[in-house]
Amino acid sequence: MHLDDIDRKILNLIQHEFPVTKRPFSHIAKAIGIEEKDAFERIKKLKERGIIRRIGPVIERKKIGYVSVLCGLYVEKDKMEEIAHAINTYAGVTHNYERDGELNLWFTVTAKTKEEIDSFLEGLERMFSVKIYRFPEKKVFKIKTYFPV
Amino acid sequence: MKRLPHICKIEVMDKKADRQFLKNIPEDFPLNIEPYDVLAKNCSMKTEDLIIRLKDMIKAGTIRRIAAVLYHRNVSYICNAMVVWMVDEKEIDEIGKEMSLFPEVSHCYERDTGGYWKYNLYTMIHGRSKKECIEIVKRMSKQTGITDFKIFFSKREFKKTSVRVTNE
Repeated sequence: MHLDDIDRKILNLIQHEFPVTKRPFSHIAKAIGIEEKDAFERIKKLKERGIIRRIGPVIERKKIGYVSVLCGLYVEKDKMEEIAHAINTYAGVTHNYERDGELNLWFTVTAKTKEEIDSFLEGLERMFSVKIYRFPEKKVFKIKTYFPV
Repeated sequence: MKRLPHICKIEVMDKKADRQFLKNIPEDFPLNIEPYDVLAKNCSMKTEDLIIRLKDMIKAGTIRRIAAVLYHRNVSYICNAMVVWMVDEKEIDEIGKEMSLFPEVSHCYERDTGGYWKYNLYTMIHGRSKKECIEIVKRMSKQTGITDFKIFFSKREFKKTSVRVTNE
């Protein structure tokens, strides 16, 4: 997918921070040396082209009283899609990936209480006769997705 | 001693107020030259007040940042790997920080071993190919001296969204 130098500069900048100010595109434009309208149009196109997924807040779950847990399980190949889709139906599931390895389905689930998560996981375990391993976080060292383009 | 329950109560109420506020903030801002004006209108607030509120929440760490999130597969980062490492408990702070310095690492957590294995440090790595991911892991291993690890490459993405703030 073609991106020119200005697109790249914009993407690298707004992955770090989208300005919290009345005219954010004016700030971005100034930092890059283009016009406000130009910055706006380019960002609009980058969204339409499927480069930018979203622009918005990255929320720290713990600070608003949410709990989350990473889960891993082993699933037989012919059951993979069925189980993955059952997991996806739960709104608190934010990530769900099939992976290579001894545990081949990994997902994260967030909810207001540990009890809610447990009852969801126990339901899945009963329904599909699987064992789900839970890997709750003890300490966060880094959460920052940044893809230099 | 008497003050403690009182403080806890305030904290719980703050969290509830933050959740209520965030419920009205879309995870993807409207495409508008003045997007905060649109958000403010939806929240029945003045733009200046909304901006102050958002800035306060960033300062408090409730909002980690306001930023663009890319479709990483569309910018050539087609490979992601979860790498789990076994690190001595005494060294985990130092090693966790060291691994976090790699720009290719998006997530780095100390986690419970889940009663399943001995791996306690979890990193998410992004690269343009499997080969590139393996090179990154090798560099991380060499630099930190951690040699006991396992790599789980992604095969299929079933879901990837962000945290949603739901109704009370």
